[in-house]
Amino acid sequence: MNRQDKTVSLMRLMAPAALFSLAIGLAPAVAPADEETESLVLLRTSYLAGNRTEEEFVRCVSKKIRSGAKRPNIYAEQEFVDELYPWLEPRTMPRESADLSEFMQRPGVGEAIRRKGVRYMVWLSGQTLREGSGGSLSCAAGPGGAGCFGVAWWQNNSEYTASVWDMSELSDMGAMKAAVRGTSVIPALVIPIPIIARTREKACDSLASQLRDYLDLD
Amino acid sequence: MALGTVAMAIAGCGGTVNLSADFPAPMTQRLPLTAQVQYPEGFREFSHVEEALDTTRWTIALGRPSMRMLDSILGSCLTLAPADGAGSNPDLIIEPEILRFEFGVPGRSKVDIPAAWVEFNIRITTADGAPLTRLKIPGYGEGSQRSSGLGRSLSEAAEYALRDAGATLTQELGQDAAILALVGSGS
Repeated sequence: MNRQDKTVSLMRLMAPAALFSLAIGLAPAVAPADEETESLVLLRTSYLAGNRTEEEFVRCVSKKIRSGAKRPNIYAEQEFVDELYPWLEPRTMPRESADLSEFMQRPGVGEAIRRKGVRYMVWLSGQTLREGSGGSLSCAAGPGGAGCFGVAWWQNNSEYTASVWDMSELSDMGAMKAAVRGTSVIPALVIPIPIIARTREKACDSLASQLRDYLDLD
Repeated sequence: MALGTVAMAIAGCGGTVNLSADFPAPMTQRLPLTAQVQYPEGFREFSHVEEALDTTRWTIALGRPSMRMLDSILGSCLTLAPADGAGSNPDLIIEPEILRFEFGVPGRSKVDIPAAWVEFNIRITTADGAPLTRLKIPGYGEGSQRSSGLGRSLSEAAEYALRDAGATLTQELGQDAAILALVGSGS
């Protein structure tokens, strides 16, 4: 291959990466919120009430809510909790909509909610639990190679609830649920082939879809 | 809230947990009083050290993060005078003390998630040393079930315990009868 051919080959290899980098540079890092849709915040209910909702689930729901036709502004959970400290801590947060009047009268809270334009507080509860497992999978390596044999399985159950509070009416708008159960399997004849049931992701999809529909974001 | 850093001991499990979080200033009404906070000797370097029968050893550095939390809370609830007292005539002298700290981790305690408990004793006197009030401030926190390790979850639990204590202190300061009486007396 002569020098010119080498140069052309190198440019052909680099062109897609260069175009990709240009696209990334031009695209906004985060899709901007629509100005006309109201803001909301997703919060986890208190662990003092036994709730163990995963932080990743809140982020997933937040991302999927913003994937609809309307993209509301969603405040990041921890930043919002920090800004309203100490009134959204596990011990001090409002437990039910009947507590909203008192919550809004806390020093600075009502003003902060109005200033930030928060129309809805969405309270998430629930978690993904592994309910059972079984099977046997063993792997070994030696001079002639490595491999696994057997099958392992486990069952996940993802159940979540979202309660929506209207901050302008100070009322409970209702609740929606998502429950997904699935079994993950890893069979192996030399090479393990995982078949993972992504129950949490499916529950996230379901709950976000219900919220988009309920809040008229589609 | 940034997670604390964990330095793992070379031998065995356990480690040193340093809490690096900043504690937010509370949303509260500032009382019309000035105060000087006097931390006892050794408060800044206070650490909780616990060894289990299986030689697991955890060291949780609490002094500095507790000071950050208390400075944030007290600085929002009151007007703080310089610690050295130069040029000030405060209404209150506040002496905090860490009474106790405990934690539980799955497998060692009857908890399914790392948890921490802390209790502060806040002694408040007037500028001339007369006892005014004493506040017992508890805090409880839980870590999350994360794959990044027990140390990070424990750090999270300790930070939430301090935040909870800060929330309690914010409420107690605004409701304490002796402090409110001092405010009412126009001092």
